[in-house]
Amino acid sequence: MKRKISGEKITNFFRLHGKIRRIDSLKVRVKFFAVCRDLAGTDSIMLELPDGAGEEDFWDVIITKYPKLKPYKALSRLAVNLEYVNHHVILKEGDEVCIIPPVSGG
Amino acid sequence: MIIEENLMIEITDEPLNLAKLCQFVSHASCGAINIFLGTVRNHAEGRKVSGIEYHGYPEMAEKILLEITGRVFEKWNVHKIAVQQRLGMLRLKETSIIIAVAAPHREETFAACKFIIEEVKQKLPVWKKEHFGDGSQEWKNIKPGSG
Repeated sequence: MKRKISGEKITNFFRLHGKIRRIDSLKVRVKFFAVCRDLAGTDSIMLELPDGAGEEDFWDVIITKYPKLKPYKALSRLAVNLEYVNHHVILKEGDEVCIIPPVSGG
Repeated sequence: MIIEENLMIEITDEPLNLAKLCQFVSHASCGAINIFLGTVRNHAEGRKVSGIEYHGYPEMAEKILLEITGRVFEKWNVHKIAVQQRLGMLRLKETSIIIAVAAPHREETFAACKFIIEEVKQKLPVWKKEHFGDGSQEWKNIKPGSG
C-alpha cells in the first residue's frame, strides 16, 4: 500500500520484525554474486527498504523476497558502494548493496 | 583497468599477458622482479578438476586491488606493481592471476608478492566455480550455514 506525501516521499507499509509498520522508505540497488545470484535468479534488483535501514533490516527484506538466501546470510559480507561495510551500516537512498559470499579469487 | 606510472591493475576476460606485465614493472632503479602466477590445477580436496569458472565484480575488485597495492607501497620499498586477474572459464594449467613486483632489492619483492596474493585470497570479490571430472560443479568455499 502506498500513499504519496507532499509529492516527495512515498510512505509504505513494511512488515518489519513481524509488525506491520507505516514508515518512509528508500531504494537501493542490490547485486548478487556466485551462489546468491544462482538462487536469486538475477544479478541485480532495485529494493525498497524502510528509511534508516541497517544490515538486519536489509537481510529481513531480502530473505522475505528470496528465502533460499537465508543459509548464506551468516557466510556473507555486505559491500556498499564498492566498500566492505561493518554491521553498523545505515543504508541511504541510491546505495548499491552487494551480497558478498566467501570469495575465492587469485 | 587502472594504469598509473608505477601501478597496473586489470580485471579481464582475456588470457593474461605475462610479457606485458614484466615489461611494465621493469625499471632501471630495480634489481629484482618477482612474479607470482596462479594456475588451474587438476585436483581440489581429493576431487578431479577439469576446469574453473571465475566470476567477479570488476569495479570493486579494481578498488580492492588499489587498496592492497597501496599498502604494499607503504610497507616496502617497492617501485612498481602490476596485477592481472582473469575472469571466465579457464582450462587446466591456464593462468588465473599474475602479480608482478619490482624493487631495488629482492627481499621486498618476495614479501610484497606474498602479501598481495594473501590479501587477494581474503578480499578480492572474485569467485571460483570448480568443474569436476564427474560433471558436477561447485562454488569454491561457499558452504551454507544455519543462517
